[in-house]
Amino acid sequence: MSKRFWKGIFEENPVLVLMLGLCPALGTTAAVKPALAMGIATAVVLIAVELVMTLLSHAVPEKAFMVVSVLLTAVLTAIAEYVMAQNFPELHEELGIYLPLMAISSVILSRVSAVSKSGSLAEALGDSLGMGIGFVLALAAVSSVRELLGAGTWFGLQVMPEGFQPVAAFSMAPGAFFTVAFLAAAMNVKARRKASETDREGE
Amino acid sequence: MNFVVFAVEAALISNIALSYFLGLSPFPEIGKNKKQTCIGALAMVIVMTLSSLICGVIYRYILVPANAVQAKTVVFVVVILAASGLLALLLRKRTAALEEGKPFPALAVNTAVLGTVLVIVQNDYSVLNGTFYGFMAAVGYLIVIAMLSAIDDELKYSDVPKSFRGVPILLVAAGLMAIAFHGIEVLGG
Repeated sequence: MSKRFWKGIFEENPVLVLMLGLCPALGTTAAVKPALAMGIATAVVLIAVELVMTLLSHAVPEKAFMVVSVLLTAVLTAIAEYVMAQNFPELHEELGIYLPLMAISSVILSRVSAVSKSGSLAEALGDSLGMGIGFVLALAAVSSVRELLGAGTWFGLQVMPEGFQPVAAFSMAPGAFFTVAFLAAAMNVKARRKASETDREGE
Repeated sequence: MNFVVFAVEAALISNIALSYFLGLSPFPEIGKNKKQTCIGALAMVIVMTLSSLICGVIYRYILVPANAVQAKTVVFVVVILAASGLLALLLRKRTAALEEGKPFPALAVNTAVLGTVLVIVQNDYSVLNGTFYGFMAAVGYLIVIAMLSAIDDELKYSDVPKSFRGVPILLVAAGLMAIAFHGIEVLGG
């Protein structure tokens, strides 16, 4: 279980390695605050769905498994939307269409498909926690770069010095693509270095 | 004239893949089988138009009057699942190229369809405008995906830095395309 957990954070980070959840990773990361909100909401729903589907893995027939997962995710997303609208209306407004899109989030559905079918609660717990935290970290990283460079702020607070000219591209679509691309490449560099280290150790 | 501007806006200027980041899940597989990718995107046009129409009607004439707007996420997901399931059933007999069951998850679970419907609802389009928007958005998506899949295929012959191989370089390509598409705004008058 702990192996799955640590894998979800770095080695198999859902956004930067597995390339899941690109939609929220690009769409909600113009600033750190909405990105964290989206990340946490997704992580919570991911844990819930993965655990529930694991418990149901014996009761639900193979063919219906994904459909049931999607429906469960959709219901939990609707609840999350309601909770957010009631308690954090400005965040809810800022997230726009991306919060409801959690209903068919590739992070959630892909992990459920990969892990829940095995029926092991320990695996599901480790995986969902790891992937959830990994997802939040990834979104935090992307949004930090984008907000710092695109607006000079972090979490709304002015960070960059007065003379700093924000690079508007980072707040917009192209910047989103480039930031995720470079961060993913950075993860690859780390992964390859680690792999070559383990190779050398084996000799 | 307005209708042309609307169409170009939906398909290109606010392209759902490049502006809204929808429908990016196929990226890892995009260059491997260009034909399959394009067939999938074509199927998406049908599912999107159909879903935009049905969801538009349900939202405007059932959910809003019944004050049940909260249910939109679940209702839309159900409609989209049904629409793509139906299409998968119809397609299964005609195209042997599509593995059984594969188009269904790819279509239903793709953020493109649900995202487009949500945009329609958010912008409060009429049923007719909404359906047309869904159709044009899908056409725009098809154009962009076809281009990106061709680029991905071409990149096989380029010396891409090792860390960028696969999806990262494709994201860079998409970013550059997003910049290029900004120029199309000029057509919006």
